[in-house]
Amino acid sequence: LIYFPPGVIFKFMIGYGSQNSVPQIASGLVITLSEDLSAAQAAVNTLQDRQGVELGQRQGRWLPAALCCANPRLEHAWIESIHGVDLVEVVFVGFEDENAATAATPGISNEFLSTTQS
Amino acid sequence: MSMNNLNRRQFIGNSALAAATAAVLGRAGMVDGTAQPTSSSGIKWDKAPCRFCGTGCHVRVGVRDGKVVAIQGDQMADVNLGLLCMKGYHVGGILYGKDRLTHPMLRRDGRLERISWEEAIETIARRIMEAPERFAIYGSGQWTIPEGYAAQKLIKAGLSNNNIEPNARLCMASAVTGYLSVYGVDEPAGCYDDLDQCDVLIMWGNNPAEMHPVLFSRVLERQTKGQKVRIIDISTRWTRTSEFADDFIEFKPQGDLAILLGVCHLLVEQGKWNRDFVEKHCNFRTDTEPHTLLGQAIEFEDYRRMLAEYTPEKVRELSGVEPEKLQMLTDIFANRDLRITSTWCMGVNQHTRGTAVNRLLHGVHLLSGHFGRPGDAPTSLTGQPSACGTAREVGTFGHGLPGGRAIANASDRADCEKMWNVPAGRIKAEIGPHTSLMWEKFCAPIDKGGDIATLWVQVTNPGQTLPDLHRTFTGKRKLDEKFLIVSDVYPTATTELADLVLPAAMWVEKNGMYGNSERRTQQWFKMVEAPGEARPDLWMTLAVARRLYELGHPGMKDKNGKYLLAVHDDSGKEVPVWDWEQFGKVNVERALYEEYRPFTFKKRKDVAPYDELVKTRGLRWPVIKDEQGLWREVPFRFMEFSDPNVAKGKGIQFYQSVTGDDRALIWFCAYAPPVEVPDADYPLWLDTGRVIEHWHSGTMTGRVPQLRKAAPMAYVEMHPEDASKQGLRNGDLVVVETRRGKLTLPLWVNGRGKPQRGACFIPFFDEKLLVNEITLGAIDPISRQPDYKKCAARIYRAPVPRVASLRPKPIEK
Repeated sequence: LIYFPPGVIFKFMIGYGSQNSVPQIASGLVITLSEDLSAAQAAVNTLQDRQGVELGQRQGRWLPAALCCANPRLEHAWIESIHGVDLVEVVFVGFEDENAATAATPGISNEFLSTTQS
Repeated sequence: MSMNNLNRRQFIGNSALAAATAAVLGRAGMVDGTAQPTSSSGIKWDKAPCRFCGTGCHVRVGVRDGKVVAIQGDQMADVNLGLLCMKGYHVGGILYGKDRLTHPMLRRDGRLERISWEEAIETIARRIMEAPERFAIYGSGQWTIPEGYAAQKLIKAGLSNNNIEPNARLCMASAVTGYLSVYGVDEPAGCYDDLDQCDVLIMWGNNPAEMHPVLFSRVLERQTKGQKVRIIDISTRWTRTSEFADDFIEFKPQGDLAILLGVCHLLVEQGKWNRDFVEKHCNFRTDTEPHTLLGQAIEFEDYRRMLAEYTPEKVRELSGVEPEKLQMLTDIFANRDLRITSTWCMGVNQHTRGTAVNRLLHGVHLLSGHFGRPGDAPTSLTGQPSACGTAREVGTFGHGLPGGRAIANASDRADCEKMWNVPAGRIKAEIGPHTSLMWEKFCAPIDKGGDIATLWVQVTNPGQTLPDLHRTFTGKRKLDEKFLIVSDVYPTATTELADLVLPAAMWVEKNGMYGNSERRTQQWFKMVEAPGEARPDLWMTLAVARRLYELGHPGMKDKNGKYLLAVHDDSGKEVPVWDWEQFGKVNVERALYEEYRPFTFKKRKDVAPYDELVKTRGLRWPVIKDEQGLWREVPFRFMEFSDPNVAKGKGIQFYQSVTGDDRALIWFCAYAPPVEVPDADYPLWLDTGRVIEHWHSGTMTGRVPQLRKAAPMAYVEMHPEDASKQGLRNGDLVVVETRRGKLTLPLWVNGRGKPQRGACFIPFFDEKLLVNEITLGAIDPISRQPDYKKCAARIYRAPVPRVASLRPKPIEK
C-alpha cells in the first residue's frame, strides 16, 4: 500500500506486506504527469490500456483516475514506474460490498467464539 | 458475481473517479477543490475525525444503504488538508469485521452465555451496590468526551470513590506532569502550524513517519517545495523517520536525560542562553527526593551549579553521544534566528524519568528563548484520538476533575460539587489508584489489599497493553471474587478474562466528540447503525447509573434529591435516556458536552460550543467570542498575537503559572539510571512500540485485510551484528526472554527499523504474541506512567516452534 500526499512520495508508508490476493479496492487517484508532453501522452496511452484503470478528463498535468484492483500497492507502484508519470496521490478509497467485509483476526477471535454459546 | 455486486462495484468506482476528478478540477482552479462531491451512486457523505491516532485528521465518510462504503481525506480539514495515512484510508473497514460482538454475554461455569441487556445492566448495578467503594472504571483516550464525562460524573459525584483511570496513563501521563510542572496547566502552547513554520524540527525519541505520518508529511512537503527545514532525529533506534532526517543522533536508552542536561549546561557555560527571555518569563526549580510535581524553587546560580557535572564528556558516558553532536544541538538552540519545533511521544513519556525528560525539553526551549513564535515551540504528540479531549481535559484520572482541576485541591473539589449540585464532601479527597495500582489491586485477593473487586473496562484492551501482564492482568484468572466487565467491539485479550462482555457501538455508529493533540475539539454525528444489539458506551453508563438510582444508591441523587445524571432536551424536559428506545430521541452527547463545557472556563481552556463544532472540522481551545460575536480559536497559547487571555503589551504571559507571577519554570532534574539494565544473563535492551499498519493493539486494524496482510504478526528486530554474532538470520524463529517470561517470534534484521547494537525491538500489536507479558512495568514516580521502552532481555534460537501456527512466513521487504 502506497499513498502519496501532495508533493511527497510516502516511502515511509510502504508496508512490507504480503502479495496475497485481497478483496477488490476502489481508489480515486490524481496522477501528475510529466512536463514532457510526449512522455505524458505516452503515459496516458499506457494507462488507458490497463485493466482496472478508468481515466477521467485530464486537466493540464493532472489526470484523474479510478483504480479497482485487489492489490493497490502493486498497482500504484506500477503506475508510478510509468515513464511520464511524476506522482500518484490517493484521494479516495472505497470498500467493495460484502466481499470486502473483513475477517476476524486468526487468534483470539476463534478461541473466543469457541468458548461462547449463542 | 451477482449483478447487485457488479452494480455496487461500479457505483464505488464511479465515486472514486468523481472524487479524483473533483480534486483535479480544484487543483486546476476550475472549481472549489474542497467542495463536497455528490454522487449519483447514492452515497451520502459526512465528516468525522479519524478513529485512530491523536493527530486528529478528518475523513469524509461515504454511506450507502446503511453501510460505510468509502473514505476520503477531508480537504476542508486544516489538520490533514485531504491527506490520510494508510490506516486512515481503511478506517471504514474497522466496522465490518465478521466477529463483531453483537449481544451481551455473561460467563457461567467458564462459558460466556448470551443474556439480555436488562440482565447485563442489572448484573453491573448489583455488583456495584454490593460494594460501591470497590468498583472502578478503566476507560481510555478513545472514549468520546461525553462518554468520559458521564463515567467521571458517575464515579466521582455519584459513587464517591475516585476509582477511574484512562489508558492515557500508559501513553501520556508524563507529558501532563511535564506541562503542569512547567506552565501550571496541561497541554501544548503550540500546535501543528509550528510544523509549517519551523526551520528546525527536532524529534526526541519519536517516529512520526510511522506513528503520525500525516504530520510528518507536512514537513516533508515543505522540503519538496524547496523550503529549508532541517530534520533532526534523536533516537535509540533507526526508523523510517531517520531515513528522512538530516541528522540522526543515536543515544543509549535513558541517555535523553543526559543530552538535555548537557545542552542546558553548554548554553549556560558558553553564555548562549537567552538572558532577556529568561529574566522576563522564567523561574527555576529543581526536582526533589522524594519526587513531587512542583519540586523546590532555586535561583539561576543553583541551576548553573547543578548542571555543572553534565559536561560533554559526562554526557558521552551516559548517552553515547559525541561532544561534537552535543555542541551542534547547543549551537542550534543558541541561534535566535532559527525557529525550532521539538516533538516527542512515547519514547519520552514511557520512561521511568518521563516527567523529568518532559521538563527538560520545555526547559531547553525556555532557556534558549525558543518559545513564543510560530514554529518555535516544544509540542508533545499523542497516540489516541481523544487522550487530550477526554482523558486530560475531562480529567478521567484517579487524581483529576474536569477542566484541569485536581482531586487534591479542596477548592477544585468544591467547584465541581457546586457545578454538579451535590453535597459538600461528596467528592472524596483521597485520590484514586493510578492505572498500574488499580490493576494490581484487581489482581490481588480482597483480604490482601486487592480492594478493587469489580472493574469495568470501556474502549480499551488492557489485557494486551498493560505492562508486565502476569502481574497486572492475568492474575485475575484465579480470583473468583473479582468481576471483570468489558465493553468492546471485538473479542480481545481482555474479553478472554471477562465475566461480562458488552457489545459496543463504535465511531460513526454513534455521535461523538474527540480532542486531538493540538487542543482541537472535534465532533461527528452517527451515520450507520451498530450491528446486532451493540450500543454506545455512553448509553451503558447512563443505564447503569439509572439502575443504581432505582436501587436506592444515595449518590445517584443531587442535593435536591434529583437524579444525578439526568439529561434534558432543549425545552428543559428530562428525557429517560436510560431507556434504549428513548436514547436516540435527543442528542445526549450534545447535552452532556454542554453540561461539561463550563468546567473548562476556570483554567481558561474554554472549549467551543457544540453547535460551533458541528460547523467546523474542529476548533482549538481556548475558543473565545470576539467583539464581532464570532467564536475564535487560539492556535498559539500564552502568546499575545494569538491568545486573547494574554494581557495587552505582555507579549508572552504564562497566565496559569505555578508561581502565580506569569512565569514558566525551568527545571533541573538529575540523570538517573534505568531501573533494569542489561547484564551478563540478559545482555540486550528490549524496546517495544508500534508499526504504521496497526493501531495500538490491532483490535481494529487487525480486521482490515489490507492492513493485516501487510503486517500479519509481530517480530523482533535486532542489530545485524548482534544477530550475526549468534548465528541468527533474517526469518529465524527466536526466543526473546526477560526476567518475566519469554516469547517465540521471527527475527527481522535490517528491516524497516534497526535497533542500536545491544538492543532489540518488538511491536505490541499482535494479540497472539503479547510482548507485554515480558515488559517491566516500572513507573515514573510522578506521572505513574510505565516504561515500555527499557528492560533487559536475551535472545536465542528457538529450539522448536512453541506452536505450529507460530512458524512465520518469510518476511518480505
